[in-house]
Amino acid sequence: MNTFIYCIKQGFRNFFRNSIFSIASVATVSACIFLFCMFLALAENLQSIVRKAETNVGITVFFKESMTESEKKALRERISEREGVGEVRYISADEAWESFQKEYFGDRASELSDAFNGDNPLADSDSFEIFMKNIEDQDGMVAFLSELPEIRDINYANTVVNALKKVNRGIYGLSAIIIGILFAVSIFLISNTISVAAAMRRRENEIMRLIGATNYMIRSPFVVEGVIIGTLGALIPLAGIYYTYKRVTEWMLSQVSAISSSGAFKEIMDLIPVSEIFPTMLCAGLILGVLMGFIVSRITIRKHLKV
Amino acid sequence: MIRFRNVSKTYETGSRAVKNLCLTIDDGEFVFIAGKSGSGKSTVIKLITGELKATEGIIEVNGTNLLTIKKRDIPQYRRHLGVVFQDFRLLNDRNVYENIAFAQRVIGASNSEIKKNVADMLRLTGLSAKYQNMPYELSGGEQQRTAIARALINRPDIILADEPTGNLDEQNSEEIMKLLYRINRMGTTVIVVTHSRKIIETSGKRVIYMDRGTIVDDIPGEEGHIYGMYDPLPQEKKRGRSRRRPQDEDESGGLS
Ligand SMILES: Nc1ncnc2c1ncn2[C@@H]1O[C@H](COP(=O)(O)OP(=O)(O)OP(=O)(O)O)[C@@H](O)[C@H]1O
Ligand SMILES: [Mg+2]
Repeated sequence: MNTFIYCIKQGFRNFFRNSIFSIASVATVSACIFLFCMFLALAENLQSIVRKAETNVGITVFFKESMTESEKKALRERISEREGVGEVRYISADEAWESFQKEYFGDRASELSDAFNGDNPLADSDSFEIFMKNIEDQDGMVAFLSELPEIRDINYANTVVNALKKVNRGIYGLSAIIIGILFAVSIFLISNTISVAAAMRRRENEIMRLIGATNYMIRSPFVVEGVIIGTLGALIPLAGIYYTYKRVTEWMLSQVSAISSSGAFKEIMDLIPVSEIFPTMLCAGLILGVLMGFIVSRITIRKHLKV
Repeated sequence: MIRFRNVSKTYETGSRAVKNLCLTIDDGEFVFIAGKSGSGKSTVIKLITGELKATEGIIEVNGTNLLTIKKRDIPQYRRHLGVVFQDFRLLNDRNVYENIAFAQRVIGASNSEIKKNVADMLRLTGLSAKYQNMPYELSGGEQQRTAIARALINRPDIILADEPTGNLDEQNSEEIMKLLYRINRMGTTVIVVTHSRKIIETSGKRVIYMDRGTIVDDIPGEEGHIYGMYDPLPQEKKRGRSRRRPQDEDESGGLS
């Protein structure tokens, strides 16, 4: 116990004695974790947008004109019975027209309605809107529906979702490369810092060894130093991210509200609130920083201080 | 007890520092190791501390076989040894107290134990007034006494001192030797490497002379001769102590 406390103290001592290198390492680790968290936030949000887009759009099925109410009812039953179907909603022609006006014209919807003299340009456009429990099942559902003779047309958000997914993948790839490079630099700098610390303490370590210090005792101050670098390198950017992310969400909200006050677009573009995303970032960032500091310093010091 | 049986040490460079050495040092003995530069004295010390492994032969220290000792057992083994060097090897960024306490921290002693033991050591080495000084604020003798206090604080069975007075003037050397004799009288085995003919000749202790890696002479100490150079030995007696001729004990052996 005494030894453990002593080693921690020595770790801090190392950290401060080696201040220039320590600061450089902390700065790089910070940059690395900052970007990591930023990309994490971006990825999470994009994913959430894709998910919302998918579930929001669902599959819209239009009927052949000849279909009667009871046939529609029977069809609805058949669809509902299929596995994975969450909800089948009947949208009447009037409802379809109303929601079209709202979504695209917002407050000026009544003007548009006047222009059409109350006629519904979407007459005969009643439909089922089918929401899958699991979005992966959508393709199977579409395949099933297109086989049905009663159905005239199927709309689903394939193109939008696919485009979003493509963007997502691109961002993942790019961020993986950038973060990879930053990681390499961080690892290099931590390793260097620990090497310098080891060189500075060589004499001390020799004396310790002759007095009968165990390897654990000789090495752990350096590991502590590495962990300090990693922890600070995580906490600093996390604090920064918390603040930045909060600001960005607020800004986005005001921007989106300015464009359209309601509707699917706004819902989709709402960012994940900071209170929801930050715990994940905190955990990921801290674990990353601490582990990086721990592992890199451990390996470095093992190489440096062989018995 | 320290026992070397046919020990040889060849460095990676091929230089044979110790050749076929046989040596026994009993518990509580005081032994000088002397000899020309490069004769292998420091190598012998390093073999005892386990810094070096013998290339051939068996070294046994207090029942521990250094040939077969496991690496992870070496720290525990070293805690029974105290080492002192010519260049003191103090930690320059810590004061006297912390330098002495360092050895106790290494073995995980509690703060209260450390406080008590360091105070004891400071008293023994006469450094009580200087415990807050940094090493560069001390004389060479004081630095070496700090190093000895550090070596002694864990109550080792053996003190190994490689030219402890090599950097000191005569007066400081005398003080250091006095301290080492005193430590020996308290029961600790003490092995001192030295170049000082004067220290050896006035000590009355056992002297092992080395040359080119072997022991060329082993002169036993004089019974009852404890204070070494502080004893009022007649000049003839001192000159009479010569190499290659074990000292015959006579009536002039000093008494304390
Ligand atoms: N690390 C080393 N690598 C190679 N050869 C060494 C090493 N250390 C010592 N030697 C050689 O071993 C021999 C004995 O060296 P050692 O240091 O034991 O001598 P010494 O008796 O202590 O000398 P001195 O009185 O000068 O301190 C010398 O020839 C020296 O050159
Ligand atoms: Mg030497």
